[in-house]
Amino acid sequence: MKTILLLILSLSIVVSLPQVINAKVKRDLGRICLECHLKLKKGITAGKGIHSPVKKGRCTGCHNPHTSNHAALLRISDADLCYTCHKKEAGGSFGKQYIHKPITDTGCTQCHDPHYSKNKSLLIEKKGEGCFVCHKKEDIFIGKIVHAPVQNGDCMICHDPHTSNDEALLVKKREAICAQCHTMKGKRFIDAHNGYPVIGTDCLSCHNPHSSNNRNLLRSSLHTPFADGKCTVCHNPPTSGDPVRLSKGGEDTCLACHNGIAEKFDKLYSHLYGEKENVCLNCHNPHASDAGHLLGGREERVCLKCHEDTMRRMTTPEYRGNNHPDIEKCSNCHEPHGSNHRLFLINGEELCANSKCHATAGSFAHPMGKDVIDPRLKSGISCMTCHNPMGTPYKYNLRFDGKADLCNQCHKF
Amino acid sequence: MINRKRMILFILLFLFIPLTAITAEDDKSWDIAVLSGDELTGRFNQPASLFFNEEKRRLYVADTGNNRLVSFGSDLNYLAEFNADGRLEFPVGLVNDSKGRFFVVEGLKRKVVLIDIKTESIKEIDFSDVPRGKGIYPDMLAIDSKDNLYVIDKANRCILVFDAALRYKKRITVKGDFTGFADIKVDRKGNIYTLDTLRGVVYIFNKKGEIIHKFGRRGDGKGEFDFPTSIAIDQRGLIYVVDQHKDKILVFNRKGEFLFDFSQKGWKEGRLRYPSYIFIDRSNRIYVVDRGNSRIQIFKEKE
Repeated sequence: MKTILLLILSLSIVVSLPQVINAKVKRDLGRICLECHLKLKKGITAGKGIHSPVKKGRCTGCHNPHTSNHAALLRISDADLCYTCHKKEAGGSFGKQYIHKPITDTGCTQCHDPHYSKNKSLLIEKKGEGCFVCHKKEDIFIGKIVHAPVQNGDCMICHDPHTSNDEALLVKKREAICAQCHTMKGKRFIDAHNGYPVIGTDCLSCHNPHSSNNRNLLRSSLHTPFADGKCTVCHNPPTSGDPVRLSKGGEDTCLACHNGIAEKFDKLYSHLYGEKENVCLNCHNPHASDAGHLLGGREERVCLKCHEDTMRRMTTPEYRGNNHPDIEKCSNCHEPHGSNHRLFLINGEELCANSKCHATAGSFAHPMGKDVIDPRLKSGISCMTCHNPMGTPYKYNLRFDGKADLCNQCHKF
Repeated sequence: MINRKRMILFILLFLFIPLTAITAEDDKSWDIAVLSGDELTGRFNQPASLFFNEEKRRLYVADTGNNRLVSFGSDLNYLAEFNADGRLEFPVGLVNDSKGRFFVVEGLKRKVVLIDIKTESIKEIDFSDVPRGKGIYPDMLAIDSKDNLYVIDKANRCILVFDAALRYKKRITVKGDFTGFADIKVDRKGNIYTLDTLRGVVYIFNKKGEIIHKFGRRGDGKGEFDFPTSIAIDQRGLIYVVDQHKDKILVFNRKGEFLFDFSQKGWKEGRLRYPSYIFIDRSNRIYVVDRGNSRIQIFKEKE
């Protein structure tokens, strides 16, 4: 009997020994890793916030200790790895329209430390300091007066660092974001807006939420009637039944002062399009703007809002870096109101050679003009026969590979 | 019994595969003709639109940059040109009614003119009885079987409809998320086909001006639009949309389901560069204004 018991005991030890050893190895694996990764060990010991798998010593949850096709011996690529546990954000979709670029371009570790951090949410930098790595302070602190949350680096009061249905990744709708902190009632508020019912409108259309040199963080360029508080130049009086309505209706309100603009639309190609009843407001902000010509935003953003397909093409990886310099200054080449030239070009397809930009092009470039015939079309050639300034996969914005393909289009060797 | 069922299934599968291939219609071949002008006619300069008169079997081209209308026979032979002794300026929209009257939009003057070719007279159409918010900015035109004239008004984002006596009848528009109409065609039943470029939406109205169907969106997927600018319907009821920035013609069925597209960016025959306008005649010849290449290309599906 004793022999049988001894035999069973020995057998069970033999059977369970590898599992016991395996479990111990797994438990101690984190410690084994840290025997060499001393910097990490020091950081983990000192750090307040430690990523849960690190705390549990589960280094192998993310890393393959032997070999990997990914940097840092990660089991799978950076972002995909995070989503194995953070399932709610799987695939980086986050379920909303706009995704913060680091998530799609570089991955979570652009902002978060995957091991430990003294900052909340394992952020590499404290609060806004992480944001300012990409969003340069000199672009945000453009005025002497700085909005308190910006000064304190509390970017996340207004912005969601991951995703939003607003292009600026706001945590709430534009109409509601300011009301989180600011009281939108009372005599002071009403007087500041000359008695007009502005509640429910987009405060950001007039106020810069970051900084400004103007009082009340008003944007830098102010439309003269707005700056003078003469709202009735354009709007019905605040006491009328429909105070916000334009007194002259539509773009006639603008054209009443801006002489000569209407003629700019009377062209073969006219920008008389857009969702707004007053066509001017499709591009311009009638109150205040930080962009030139009271544009509703930076020039390229205003244009690309409608020309979304152009933006898509310009930003494809193969085109990147092969766009014309200053590509964001659309009005250098295109007439924004109307033009008699194709593609709203200021001076037709001869624009490049005729402009001060490429004044010497005629002296060394391929002959051009209506007498130099493109055999494919049997018509004259211009700069744009060979170049596409909006971007191409080839250097010098060439439409085809300049080594041979380009010339072969016409010169059959 | 099971084997028999399997046999039927296999037969059905074999029948289904070629059917699918036909439905996909993505490998069509075309007869292509090109009109770009020659020494006799002079080269086209940014033509904007064209119209094929079925009774006369004539093609009329609005050669915008050359301030003229040019006519061709049904075999695309040059016939004549008209510029009203230099009085016609930048013709854009162009239609021809059953009485032979020409209606032309003069692009820079914001007006529609009625042209009598025989007398070379040009008469501006009076829009004074149109209830308007702002000044009218006419763009593309269409005409129906009863000679009703349809005018796209860019300034008021609507379609103005006039009867054959040029009396104002009604205004057609879209409420809500809408940026304006880019082109218009009317089928034999009086249904109106039009599109909103910036929203990438095709609208179909009945003759009362009520929306009966709409489809489409902008995007880089198959059947999505980059920058749709013109629309036409063939005799089978298929809807053709010119995508100016994709340099393609996209084809949909009546339900708005994408069927196929054809052509691509290029300079050679059959390829397009910033195409801007499309017209289909009753023999299903597809006329495309290849504006970037300053020419007209005519596609006819091979039999």
